[in-house]
Amino acid sequence: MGLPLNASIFLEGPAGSGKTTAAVARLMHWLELGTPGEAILLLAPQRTLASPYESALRSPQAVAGGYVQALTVGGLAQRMIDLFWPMIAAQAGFADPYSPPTFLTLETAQYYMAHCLRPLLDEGLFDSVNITRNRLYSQLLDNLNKTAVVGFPLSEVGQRLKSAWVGEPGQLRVYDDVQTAVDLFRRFCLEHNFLDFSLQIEIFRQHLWPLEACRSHLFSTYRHLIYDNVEEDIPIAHDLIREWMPQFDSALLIYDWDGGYRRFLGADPESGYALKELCDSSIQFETPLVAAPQVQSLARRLSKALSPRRAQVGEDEQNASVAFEAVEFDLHLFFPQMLDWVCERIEQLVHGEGYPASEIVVLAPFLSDALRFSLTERLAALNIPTRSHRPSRALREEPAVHCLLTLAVLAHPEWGILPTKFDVAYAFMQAFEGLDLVRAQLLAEIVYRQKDGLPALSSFEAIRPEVQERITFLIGERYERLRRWLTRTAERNDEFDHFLSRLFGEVLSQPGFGFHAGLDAGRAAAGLIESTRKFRWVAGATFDSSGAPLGKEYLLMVQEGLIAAQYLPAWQTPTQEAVLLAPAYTFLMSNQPVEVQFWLDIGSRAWSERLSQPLTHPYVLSRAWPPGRLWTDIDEQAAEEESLYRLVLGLLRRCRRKIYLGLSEYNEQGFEQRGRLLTVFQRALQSAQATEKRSG
Amino acid sequence: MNAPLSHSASTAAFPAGFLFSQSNLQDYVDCRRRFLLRYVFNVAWPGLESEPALESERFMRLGERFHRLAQQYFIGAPPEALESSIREDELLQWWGQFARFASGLRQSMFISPELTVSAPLEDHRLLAKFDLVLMNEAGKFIIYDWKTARRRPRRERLIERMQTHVYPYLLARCGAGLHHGEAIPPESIELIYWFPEFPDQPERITYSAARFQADHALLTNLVREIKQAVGNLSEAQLADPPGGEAFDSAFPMTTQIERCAYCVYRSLCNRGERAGDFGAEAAESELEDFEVHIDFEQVAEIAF
Ligand code: SF4
Repeated sequence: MGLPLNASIFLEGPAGSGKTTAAVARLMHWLELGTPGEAILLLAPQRTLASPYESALRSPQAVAGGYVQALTVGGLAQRMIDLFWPMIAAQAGFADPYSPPTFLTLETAQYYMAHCLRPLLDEGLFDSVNITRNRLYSQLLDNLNKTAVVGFPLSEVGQRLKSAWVGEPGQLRVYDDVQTAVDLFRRFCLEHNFLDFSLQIEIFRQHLWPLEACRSHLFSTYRHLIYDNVEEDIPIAHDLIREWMPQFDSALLIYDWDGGYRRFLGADPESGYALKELCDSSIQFETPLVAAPQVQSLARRLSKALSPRRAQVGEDEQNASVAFEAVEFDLHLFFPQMLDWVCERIEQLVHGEGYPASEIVVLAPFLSDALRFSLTERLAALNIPTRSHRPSRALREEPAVHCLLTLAVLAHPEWGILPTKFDVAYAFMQAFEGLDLVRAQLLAEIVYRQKDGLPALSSFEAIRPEVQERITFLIGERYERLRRWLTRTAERNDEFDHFLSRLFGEVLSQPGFGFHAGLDAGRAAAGLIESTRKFRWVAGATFDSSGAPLGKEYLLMVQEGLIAAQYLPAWQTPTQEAVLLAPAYTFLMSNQPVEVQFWLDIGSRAWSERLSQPLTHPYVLSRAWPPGRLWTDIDEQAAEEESLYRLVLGLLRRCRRKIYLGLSEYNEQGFEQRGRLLTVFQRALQSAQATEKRSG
Repeated sequence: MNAPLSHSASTAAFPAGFLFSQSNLQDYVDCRRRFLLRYVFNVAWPGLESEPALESERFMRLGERFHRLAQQYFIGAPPEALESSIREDELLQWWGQFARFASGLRQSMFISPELTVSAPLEDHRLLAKFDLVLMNEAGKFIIYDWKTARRRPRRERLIERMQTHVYPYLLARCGAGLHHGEAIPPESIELIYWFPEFPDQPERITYSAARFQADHALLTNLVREIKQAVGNLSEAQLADPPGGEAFDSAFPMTTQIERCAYCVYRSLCNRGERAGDFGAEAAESELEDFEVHIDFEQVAEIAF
């Protein structure tokens, strides 16, 4: 705080040493001294990482003035493209520079990737690759993103991947296919003014950053920089800041040692650290403020076991057992037994020892829906609320969404999509208040017909009176209202999202219908309608010219799992008193320390192994990897060790008191397991015992 | 910009960090229930706002485009390049009016398009995003707000909008940063609503110390009242949203039922089925507050 206001400072240290707290204080100090808020650029690799600043800026303690903008480099690129588009569109190679750009979301980018590749896939492109279409498209987009964030030409992707490959020669053809696919997609985007994430970054870097008007706008708008979690950002962001630094009146760059958790998204801690040389001064915060001494001691022991060359055991060498006061574990034969143990321990902490539930987190390398469900149910039975990084169902699995889409199909028989009887019954059950599944099935059984291969609904009047009575006349009346509405409205030929909005507002959320007082249904319907609207705004023109129904295409994409696969934002706020269930990396990126952590299934290989990605490679497509060098098993092993080292240290630095290790001999799928994390713990424990013995 | 409020039963207080704006205050003034549903319970309810939906959407997007063009113009994009990017006749006409009007403004001593400011109010903050703020040769600070409505609202109607209270008030409170560290006296502030459809009929609203005091009292009381009303919600009410009668005393439904035709919560409140006519006169006052907001961080961000 005492440092001159016009200084550029590189602040570094381990997580949990108070760097961000100090940076927030400096920001508030700047504002108090009259620095205009709108002149401060608050940069972070991911929005969640800016939240400590945003909380402070939203508090009444912040002085009156311009609003400090929190941005990611991606967000900045998109804003600049939007503002300066007319000045760069033609030279950037867009086919229609006089029409506005269309920014693709991940969902719409996947859709268009599918659209471009469909004919080629039918002809055999990627025929030797055995992964879902969804994963195939997302890995191709990942390749496009890597070229942009690392900064090498798109035309080199296939070659770089090939030149590092040491396995089956057949894979080399796959990389040729990768090149064909990404080239095709890029051409398609340029032809249609579409900008996926990769193209946004590239256009910003190559056409906007050199543009005088853009530079002078940025340089005159932002005079001060705060850049947190530099180590988690992409190299192109580091390049940008390197060139921009001389223009700022002051800058504060914050760097976490041993971070780099977003490496597989292109994060490059090394190029981030190189920014240090541009700063007037550097400060190190070395004292951990979060972790208790026993947790720090455990971190040192484990880091020695993980990477002997980097760790210093230091002062507690003589008292090795201290480290293991911070850890408790129990071995179980089967996975469910381990979950029971975890839940019992949590109950004891919350109800027995009075720990706030929000100070407990349960972590796994990946958190499957099934695992999350098991934990939520078990803890709910013990009267302990849970929260998660995302709700348990994807949008397309929400009952309200299922209902809306089934009714849309029934309203548009010409699409030729035939729902099953059960689908229709389930939709009825959602649509009518008070209708149980048995009567819903009875109703569907009678009124839902397939005529000439097309779906149709018949009238309630035509049902035998005794059956009408069983279904009830009230339901019959509502059913008729819905049926007439579907017939009438389908004739209007509305846009698909407008059709859904009207179906929601005019029928399903009216009194007597299933969505009337259902906030969850409203939220799910809103999510679906927003997704269909964005889809229309991006893809509408394609359909207008082909005459194909957009609603039908949307539905097919939902069935393929390509869209409506996102999760609705959770109801809960982060402050809610509940145990957090999250994948380990998601927890790390939320950067919120807790008292107690549970690590599930530490025997699992998933703690250290990276996801299988046959079409891309986070290390080979990084800046540090020399093109042409082979990626061998030794490299793979070194990468695993490195990422496990960072993960373990990162978690421990965000733990105040204790970790509980869940161990089961057989995993969720029933296979025996012995992953690297378990071995590391065993090694650390043995070394501690040996030390204890030596010291008597 | 506001995060959803928690409706967990643990607290009935407004969460720290809730940002008040002309838009959420206007919601409160127009219909207490709408405020409750939208900001306390964060109810997503995707009914249509007006019909024909496509026409209303087209108009809203034209408004967005116009705001973007104005911003591009003031950050120095060449007018010819901007003009050549316009395809729609209506927008071209607005642009023509705008370019004639705005060419004289570009030389102002200080100029800031799309400026967002905020100031503490009670234990929260009040926030506003100005389309344009400039200082003219006479040393006056003028806030411009582009209104792309198809009908020009009456002066009385504009004067009673929360925007007319919030904008000059906030500039007076936050202006030091724009004025070499000196506060901007209320007398030096003016708010101009400018209508591309009616370029010769801007609405000028001058400001004064007395109006600043009055606005301070008005806004403070409003925020206090809202906080108190939310604070008085019982745990049972919070745990069981959104009900009907339970909220009638603190968050009653509007008595101006014609408003409901243009409100997405119509079906939840049992206030009708069909959305109101976009072309009707009532639509202008109900829909004029389209907040042009694109959340850039939501789009195509790489998810972890
Ligand atoms: S429908 Fe009417 S009463 Fe209900 S929230 Fe909207 S304006 Fe208020």
